Amino acid sequence: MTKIKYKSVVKKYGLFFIVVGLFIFLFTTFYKKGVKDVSPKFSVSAENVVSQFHNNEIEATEKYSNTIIEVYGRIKKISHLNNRRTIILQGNSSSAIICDLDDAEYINIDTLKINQQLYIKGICKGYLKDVVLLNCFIKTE
Amino acid sequence: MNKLKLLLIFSIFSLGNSVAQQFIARQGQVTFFSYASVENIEAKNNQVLSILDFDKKEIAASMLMRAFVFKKDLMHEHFNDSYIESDLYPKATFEGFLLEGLENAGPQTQLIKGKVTIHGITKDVDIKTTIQKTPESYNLTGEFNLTVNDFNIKIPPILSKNIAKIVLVKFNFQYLPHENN
Repeated sequence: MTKIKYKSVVKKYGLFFIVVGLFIFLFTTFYKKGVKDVSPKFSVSAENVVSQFHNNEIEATEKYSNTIIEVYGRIKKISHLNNRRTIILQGNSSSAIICDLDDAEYINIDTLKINQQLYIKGICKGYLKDVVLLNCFIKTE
Repeated sequence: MNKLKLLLIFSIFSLGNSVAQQFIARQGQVTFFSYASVENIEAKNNQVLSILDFDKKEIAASMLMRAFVFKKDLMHEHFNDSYIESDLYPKATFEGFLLEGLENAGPQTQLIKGKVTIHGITKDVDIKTTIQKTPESYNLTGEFNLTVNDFNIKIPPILSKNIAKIVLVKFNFQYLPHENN
């Protein structure tokens, strides 16, 4: 009698543990952390990162390209071009940081002000005349 | 070497006293479309740099290949790691010239002749573009086709049905006066 009860409990809860285990396996395998949940590899001023790319583009590209970085600087321009929300941070007199906001960043950029100091985290894609950051999130605290 | 080439391209536009006729687009949009039997692929780059000089009728553009955004992460990964090899060839460039000057304020269609460099390979292209003048800017739009095989992009036979042999490229640039940017 006890043996039958034991078997039935194992059958009942065994299935539950298999389902939970499978769920955890799938979640850890396929869930990819977004930029928001990942700590930046570098935290650097807008002026400094522009200067590094300007002085040695190859070295700066190796260091920063496809890496999550946090950049702090003053807002030069706010743009809605191409139906994207873009914040351009002042770098030096001729170059800037183009920060394309992630669709999951819910901030209303029209509430931001030119010259406002900001911390922006995003994936650095490289340098043309400006440094390009995609999937950006704004640090508000 | 790449930096030297880029400097050369952009120094063309910084010589002489024609600064007033130079216009810059820092957030140009380039989209490519691959229509294939298995799937359609679309990728968009919203941070393309371009400089336009109406005096010299010259135009240059440069874009970061890793800045193309795809609907699926796996497409982005294949594009950069397997096909374009973005670590080796991080940028695509275009250098060309307008066949005619800009004569009136209304929209006009022009032909641009130039050379496009992708994956380290340079090819001649003719691009039909529509130029529209607004009070603050010049807008250039247009489209052209590129043949994947021309750029030594190796696609494994098993995936050949997933990617079109000819890719449609669309562009949209808003140019502002250079000195105000």
